[in-house]
Amino acid sequence: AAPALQLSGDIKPEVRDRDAPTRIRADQLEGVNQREVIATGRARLTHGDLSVKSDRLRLDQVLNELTAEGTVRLERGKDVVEGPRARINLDTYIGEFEAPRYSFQRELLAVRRPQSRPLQALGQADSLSLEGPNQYRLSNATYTTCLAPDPDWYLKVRDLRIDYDRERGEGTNTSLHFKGTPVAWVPWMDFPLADSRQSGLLPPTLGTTSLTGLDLTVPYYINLAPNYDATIAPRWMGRRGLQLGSEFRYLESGGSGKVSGEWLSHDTVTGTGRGLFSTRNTHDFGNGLNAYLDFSQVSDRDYFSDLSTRITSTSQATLNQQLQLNYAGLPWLSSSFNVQRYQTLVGESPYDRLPQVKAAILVPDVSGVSVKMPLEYVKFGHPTKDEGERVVANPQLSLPLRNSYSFFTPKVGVHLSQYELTRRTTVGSQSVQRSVPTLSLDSGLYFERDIDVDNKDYTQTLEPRLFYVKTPYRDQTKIPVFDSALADFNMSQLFAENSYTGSDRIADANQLTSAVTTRFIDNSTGAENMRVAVGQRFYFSDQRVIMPAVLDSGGNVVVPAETRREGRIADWLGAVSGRVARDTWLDNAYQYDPREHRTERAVLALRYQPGASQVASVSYRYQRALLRDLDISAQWPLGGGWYGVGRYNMNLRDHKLSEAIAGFEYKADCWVLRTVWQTLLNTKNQRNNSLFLQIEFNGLASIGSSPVQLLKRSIGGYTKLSNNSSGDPVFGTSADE
Amino acid sequence: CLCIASLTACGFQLRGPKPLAFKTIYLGINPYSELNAALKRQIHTSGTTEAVAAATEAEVMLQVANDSQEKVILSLATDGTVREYQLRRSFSFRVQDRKGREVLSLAQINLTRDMTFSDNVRLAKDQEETQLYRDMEDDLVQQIMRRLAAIRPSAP
Repeated sequence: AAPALQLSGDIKPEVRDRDAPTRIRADQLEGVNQREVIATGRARLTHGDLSVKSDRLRLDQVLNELTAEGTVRLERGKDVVEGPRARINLDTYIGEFEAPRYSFQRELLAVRRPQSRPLQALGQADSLSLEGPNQYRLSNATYTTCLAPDPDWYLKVRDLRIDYDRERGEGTNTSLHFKGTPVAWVPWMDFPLADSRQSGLLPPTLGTTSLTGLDLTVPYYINLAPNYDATIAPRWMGRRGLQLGSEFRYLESGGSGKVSGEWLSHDTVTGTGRGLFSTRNTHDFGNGLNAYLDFSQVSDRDYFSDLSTRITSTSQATLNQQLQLNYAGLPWLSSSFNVQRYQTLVGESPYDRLPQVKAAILVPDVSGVSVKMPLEYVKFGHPTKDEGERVVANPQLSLPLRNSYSFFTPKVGVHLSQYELTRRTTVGSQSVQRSVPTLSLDSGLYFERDIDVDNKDYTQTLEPRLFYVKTPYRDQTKIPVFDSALADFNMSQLFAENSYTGSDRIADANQLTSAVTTRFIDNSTGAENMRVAVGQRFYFSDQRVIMPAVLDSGGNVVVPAETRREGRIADWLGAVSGRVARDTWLDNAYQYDPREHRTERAVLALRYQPGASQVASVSYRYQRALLRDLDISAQWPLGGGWYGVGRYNMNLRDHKLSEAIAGFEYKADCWVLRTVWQTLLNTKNQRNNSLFLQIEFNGLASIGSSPVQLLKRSIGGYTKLSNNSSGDPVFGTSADE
Repeated sequence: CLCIASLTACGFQLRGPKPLAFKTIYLGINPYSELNAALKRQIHTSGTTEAVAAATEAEVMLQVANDSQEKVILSLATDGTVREYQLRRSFSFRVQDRKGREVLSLAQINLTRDMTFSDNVRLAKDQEETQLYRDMEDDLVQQIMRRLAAIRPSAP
């Protein structure tokens, strides 16, 4: 997670006070007219925003050069330099300071970085050269943004240049001292002065993992332009060698995207070169036309399980390779052209769609009638299974009738499909047609009442709904299955006409669904604070269409065939979600099978978040014959600047730990320490254990890196510890990490 | 129970018409998006308010502060592949009047849906994901409408 890109650039205003008047005050003034002024005793000179106080001042009026001796204190804006002797040219701000102590502070342009704070740096040096209004050069200097009298960390630099026009610092022979001890040394460094997007080193991460050995990543951020950047991350893995990672990101008015790659030229374990290429881009051409490109490819199937510590990578069985164009430029049309395939890392390859063309015509109101017509053409490809083309049309007419307290929507539709197969491995002919009509009636009422909860006005709604579907049976056993499967049974599926996703199976139906929802709405804001829903379905006929088993190329069952429903009553569904108390959120779902008298599915999730960096969540998820999972996570202050972080995600059904994280964070005034241990199950059925350590020095580099990404991803509600009270200016949320 | 049997006995009444406190609104949402079209239709059905195409003609303006969706892994199967995802949609917006005054301060709506997953039926699950995002969007439209309905008429 690197800082946010921005579209507009900026120009810094030039501040010069060449023609400002010079004023001198002192106990005693003497001089030669138009030549020089000598001020002694509590002497003070002001010139524009510059002010110099000293025991003795001499101003050479010919050169406009000031010499100060004694206890010299120079102030310019919020910059302060103190020392025994100084010389400065008032026209050019070029000059010298002997043995100074300094404190520099600059306000950054608020328009550009609304959340950044003023930047302040302190230190001392053998000598300081003023090289212009915003340039300083120091020799044998210390530098820190830690403002304590005895700073926990500072840089010691032989030759330090500070340029506030470019907001950059540059140093030779630099060592980092932490708690008085040198911990790192570099011959040359270039660092951002602002807590903002500047090129420079990001905090390195040091760790050890069971699959890679010692693991050190030192990322370098390159700020190419306001809307372009790149990160180069060399990563040394003790057991495997040197990997080079890089990422390039862009943002334009029409689109955004990133391209990333990793390359390990010689893995000492496998003896091969290994790599990753990945790109994701969106572009809006205007007028309703946009494009999406998502492409990832790795050198070998074990790439992520061997080298990655991120669950989002290690859990992937297939990598998406897709280009999609969407057009919705006409109010009644939305359409897309999609080419999509996958790189398969684990198990069976999914079908390619080369291409898939979709168009949906929607006319919401033709004399009260709503007309909808989705059309789809797909050419499915697979190395071993059935292959061929499918065309689907699904014209639908509905008559939505509604007023403030009720709705009634009768709807008729027909699902028309045509298959032309080029390879048939399942039973059936090369060419198949099918047409299935469907009738549905959807109706509901809205009741409301006013209630008072903790002296606040709420509206409680009560929304009963009835949904009837009639779809006649069609024999579909001779139709291949490309993109269909039984959908999860949930509140959304309860009101769907077809219990399968995709277009290869259309469930026969003669069923009535009833549900009632009640919501608690805060009258002052309209916010829905809580919702309770209960739903049930009654079948008037037996199930005849069955989803067949999914077989792999060897003929083994990988997903068993659907079990035929028995009885007239479907499972009960219940859900409760919302904010049940001021800091407590609840999310529960329940599915009960009344025929077998057993729970089919249950979700119990609770989150308690009384403040920032203080959150605890627990969830228990159960699905009969599929999963039983416990997930506990927290970030909690332990006192004295210490915070505990952790996650425990346990597969109770198979007694396998999916992921566990435990760690500490310590927040001092000027730095943050993180140490995080993680264990993760990967797709090679190995367990990768890793331990990471990171110290973040405030103001030196504070852009997020891997332990933070790990914690943000794993702990719901995690807040990054930062010394920046106004929130983190650069750590954007990134969905894909 | 008893309350359900006799709704009016516990204070429930059929919802009456609730006109919005403004006659025209400009939706600062991609005009070609489904969300824009769905909100426009909902506002139209109120009968008294219309969404207009130009910001200058509108009494109030809806501005989107953030609209993002993400997919989070909830649990893994024994082979280390994903078994459950949580789909999330996060939407925040504010409403300003013509003079730039906030008539509805930043409102945040977070929606989630859980979905089981298996790479063996990846195409089917991708479509289920699309359906669940659509279901969340319907939910989102309803919640935005309730927030808009909570806006009180402001002084001219």
